[in-house]
Amino acid sequence: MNHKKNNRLHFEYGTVLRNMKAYLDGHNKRQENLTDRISSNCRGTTELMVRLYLKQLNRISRLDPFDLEDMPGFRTYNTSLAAERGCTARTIINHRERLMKANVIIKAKRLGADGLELWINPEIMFKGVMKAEISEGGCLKLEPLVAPDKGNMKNFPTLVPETQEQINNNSSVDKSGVLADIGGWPDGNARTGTFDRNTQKNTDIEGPISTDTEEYRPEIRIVIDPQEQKKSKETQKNADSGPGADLEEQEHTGPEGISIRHLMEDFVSYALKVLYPNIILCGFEMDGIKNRVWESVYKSNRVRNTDKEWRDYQGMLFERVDMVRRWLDRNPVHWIPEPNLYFYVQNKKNGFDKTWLWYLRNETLKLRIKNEQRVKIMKKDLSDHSKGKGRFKHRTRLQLFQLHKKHLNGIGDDRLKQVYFHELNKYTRTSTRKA
Amino acid sequence: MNEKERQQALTRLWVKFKDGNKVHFYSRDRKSRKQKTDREVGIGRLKKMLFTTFRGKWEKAWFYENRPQTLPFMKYEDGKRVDL
Repeated sequence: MNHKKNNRLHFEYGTVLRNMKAYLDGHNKRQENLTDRISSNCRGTTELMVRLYLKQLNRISRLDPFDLEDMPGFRTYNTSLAAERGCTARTIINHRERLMKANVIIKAKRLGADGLELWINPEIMFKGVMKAEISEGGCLKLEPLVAPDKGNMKNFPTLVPETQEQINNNSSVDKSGVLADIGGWPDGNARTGTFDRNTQKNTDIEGPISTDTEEYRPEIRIVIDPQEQKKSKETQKNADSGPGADLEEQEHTGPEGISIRHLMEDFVSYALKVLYPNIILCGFEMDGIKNRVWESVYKSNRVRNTDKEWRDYQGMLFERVDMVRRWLDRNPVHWIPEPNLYFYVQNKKNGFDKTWLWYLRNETLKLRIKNEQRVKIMKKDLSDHSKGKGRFKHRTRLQLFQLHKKHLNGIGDDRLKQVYFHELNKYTRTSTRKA
Repeated sequence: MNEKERQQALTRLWVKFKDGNKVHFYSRDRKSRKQKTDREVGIGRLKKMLFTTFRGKWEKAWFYENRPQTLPFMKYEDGKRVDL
């Protein structure tokens, strides 16, 4: 018993409530009908129940420690919950039924005048269990009993009920062809400040600007943790590389730790140099632009990407900026708003976000051209083979087909396969006629 | 604009008009009465006034922080931004 008292369980509020929120969100996403989902009001009741249950469990474990297998249930009354929530007992009963349907409450037992006993889903409860050890000095040590799965963990926002919106399937908006209207006319000169209607030109751009944007493009900065730097230094010393080891090289070849703030600063400086070469900005304006970019382009660092993904994303952003520069050079009528507006999240009309579609279209075009070239080469192979020429003249028809098939499987494009088989059919027909 | 509002403004604009007049304007930095002051709001409004109501009528426009003995942080001359 003494051993049990020293090793009691402790439930962490934050972890359990986060689990609960994740569970409810997952449940709501799975439900197609709005009536089957857990409403925000019901969520509030669940939160209250879980909170009170945790309080009870922590108190019980202090008095009489228990195991996870025989956990006591949540003892409560409908009326007390109703009083706490500020609703009627009937509402609490309805919520309880709905929660049982959603498998948040796995079991309920009526105890007559003693109220209710409820058991909440262990999937919600067990992740927040801590093992509390009391040492001889009276110090409390907490260790997680179930190892947290950090790979799947999300940066959950605060416990705010989510709005339950349905996807608009009736929307007729086709976003594939909106590229043309990116350069719509400005609302007014005062609003943009950069467009002159008399000359129909962007006033910021005076004279020709070189399109060699590569020279401005900064390298992606990499920040290494100080501990890792120490380690790498030690390894270098062991390898007798000498005291004058170049730290800069290490920074560029180092494996870990991209600072997203630095990425953002690089992007801002590059975009301003390329898109607004003659702009003059003071300190607070620059800060404002950085804030806008941080929010709109880097999504306030809410997205959890790996280092490689961030590097790719940064490269794509530079590419998009270059595309805008080329578009501006193509015609003097083309213009973009001030940087403060251009990188604004809510600028749906002519903001930087629209260039994503440009980029997509460009990439798909590139891929299509590449595929067409591939098909052309294969066609040529087939026609040469039928004439007894070409590099595959010594191979059989089956061998050639197998080679092509392997190549096509490597590409993994169904449309390309269809085109190839169409060509192959033609070839087999002509070759059989000749035979 | 009363004296108190002038004192509480965050930004001050000095404008020299083409007819020789020189006037100080003070920013209104709140979007509504109970909101916090926002410097960008005030500057945006002053800019709007310069480029719409007084368009083509002024030579110089210098933006100051509304404190005594400060240097301008933004300058416009003949409708164009000028380096400090």
